[in-house]
Amino acid sequence: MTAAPIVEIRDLRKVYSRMRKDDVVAVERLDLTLGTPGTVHGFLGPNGSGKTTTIRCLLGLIRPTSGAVRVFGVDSTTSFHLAAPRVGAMVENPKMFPNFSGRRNLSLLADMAGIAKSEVDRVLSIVGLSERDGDSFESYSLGMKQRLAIAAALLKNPELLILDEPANGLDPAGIAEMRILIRSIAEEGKAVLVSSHQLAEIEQVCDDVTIIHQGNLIESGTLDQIRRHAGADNVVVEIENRDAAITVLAAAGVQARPRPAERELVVDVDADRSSDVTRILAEGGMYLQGLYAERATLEAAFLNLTGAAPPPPTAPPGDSAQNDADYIADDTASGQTGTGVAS
Amino acid sequence: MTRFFPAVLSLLIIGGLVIAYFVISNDDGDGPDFVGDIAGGVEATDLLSPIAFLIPVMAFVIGASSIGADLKSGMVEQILTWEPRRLRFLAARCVAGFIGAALAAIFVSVVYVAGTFVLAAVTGTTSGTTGELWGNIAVAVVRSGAASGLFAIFGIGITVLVNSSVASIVGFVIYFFIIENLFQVFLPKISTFLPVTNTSAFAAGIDVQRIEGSAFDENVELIVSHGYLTAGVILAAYTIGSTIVSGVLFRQRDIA
Repeated sequence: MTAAPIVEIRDLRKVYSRMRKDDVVAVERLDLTLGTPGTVHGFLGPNGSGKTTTIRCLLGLIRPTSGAVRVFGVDSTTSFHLAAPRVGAMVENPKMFPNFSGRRNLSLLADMAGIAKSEVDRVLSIVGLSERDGDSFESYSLGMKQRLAIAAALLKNPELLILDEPANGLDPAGIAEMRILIRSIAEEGKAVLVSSHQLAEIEQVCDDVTIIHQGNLIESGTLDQIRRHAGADNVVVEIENRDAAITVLAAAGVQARPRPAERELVVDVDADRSSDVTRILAEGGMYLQGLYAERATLEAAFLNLTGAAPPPPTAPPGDSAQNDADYIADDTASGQTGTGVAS
Repeated sequence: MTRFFPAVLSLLIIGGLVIAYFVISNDDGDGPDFVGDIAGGVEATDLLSPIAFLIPVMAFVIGASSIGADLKSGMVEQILTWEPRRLRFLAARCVAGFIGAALAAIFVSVVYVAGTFVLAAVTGTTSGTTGELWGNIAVAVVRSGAASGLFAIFGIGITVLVNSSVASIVGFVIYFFIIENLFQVFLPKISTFLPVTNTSAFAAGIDVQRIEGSAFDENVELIVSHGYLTAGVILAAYTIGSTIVSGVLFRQRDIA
């Protein structure tokens, strides 16, 4: 007998009815399967794309208009209580009793589930709140509140951890800690579902990704499969005489474009052909000051798939409008992953 | 709640003593004469009826607050990921609300009764009081607690229906001070079946009365509609009704 998938969503549709206003379709025909323990699954989408609605459906907090939502083979809409002991979740903003201390909030939840008090100490220690456990929840910073909510999600020692925008409100150090925490949880053999619109974070922590947009499933697969939608990798060259270098490369049949940075140009070749670039330029009497590979990023893939607008350019003074346009296209299609190949 | 507990306790004590003072020191020539004395012949119901009006207000606020804290903080969402069976969650809140409101009503009643006896002893006499009176007072105090507990559950039901403790408390205050009084004046027959009237009557152990004829006549005649036990049944019906309706709604509602 095959074990049920950890999460199985089939044809999920959720429509919010509003008085005297048009209905809002939050999720439209969504399919999602999460079946492998020990993996981190990224659930991506722009704000308002239906991520949180889907998670709420998974947790039995809202009723789907149609479709099936199962967690560990249990119908979330009618019988989530059978799966609840195996699921830890943090949904959207941290929600706790404001006048209670962090420890008291966790103790209250632990008492409800018959969890030993020592577990409260354990999870407070994991999220780094042991020193401030006696302070009231309302006195916490947003990042601390976020960490306490994650501690609450970990309290059950769940087989499935669902984190909705876990990096919200965290400083860079906190985000890095969160990344390590999520990976360590997955390494313990647990499945983690992380929703986010912070793509760089997801890219560093996830094994698989599902992208939704306007309530529709756009793409689902491994990170490498998703990144293919971003286009090819590039090589970036730093060189003194950029225009001459473009001409030399073009003569050798290699396309190159200027970047906003004064001495940079993007060469349209795969990273494993960077030696060809150095050879062509050297044969043309030109020597590199630097060279690095730019890999296709999840962000670029995401923007391509969702059709979202790229971030605004930060053009340096003196560059042409055409260069700016090139930069935008390039920046959304690739990201720097390595540095420093000296010429 | 812990932070506010001393303040709430102080408020209950002060409230009980203030009402006791006014009851003992005021002689409006109507009803039993408490001026300075709690002498023989005083009934427990007469003694406790002045604070019966307080019971529905206090109970409703306690009931609404007990579940309002979950709704306002959003903790209900967190709790439902731990205990998704919503009716269990609601039942737990009803039990807590009942116990809290009942204890508060009993406490304030005891403070009030103690206050009246001390004031009577200081300013007049308590001679002639019997053990039977104390027994009747004890029964009345327990009945106040039960009335308070039931009305707190009614308050929880209304708060779940409107999904906000602030909205339900504000709405109740308006209802308590205006709407139910309008019913008593303009629709007296209906007013005898309204929740606050019946809760107060059950808590005090007195009959529910209504105005016969016009409230604007010079000599208004009051006639008995039903006794306090029937009032208790009506209160229980309101409690059960609001609990069923709120339970059905809460079970179906999206928590978002």
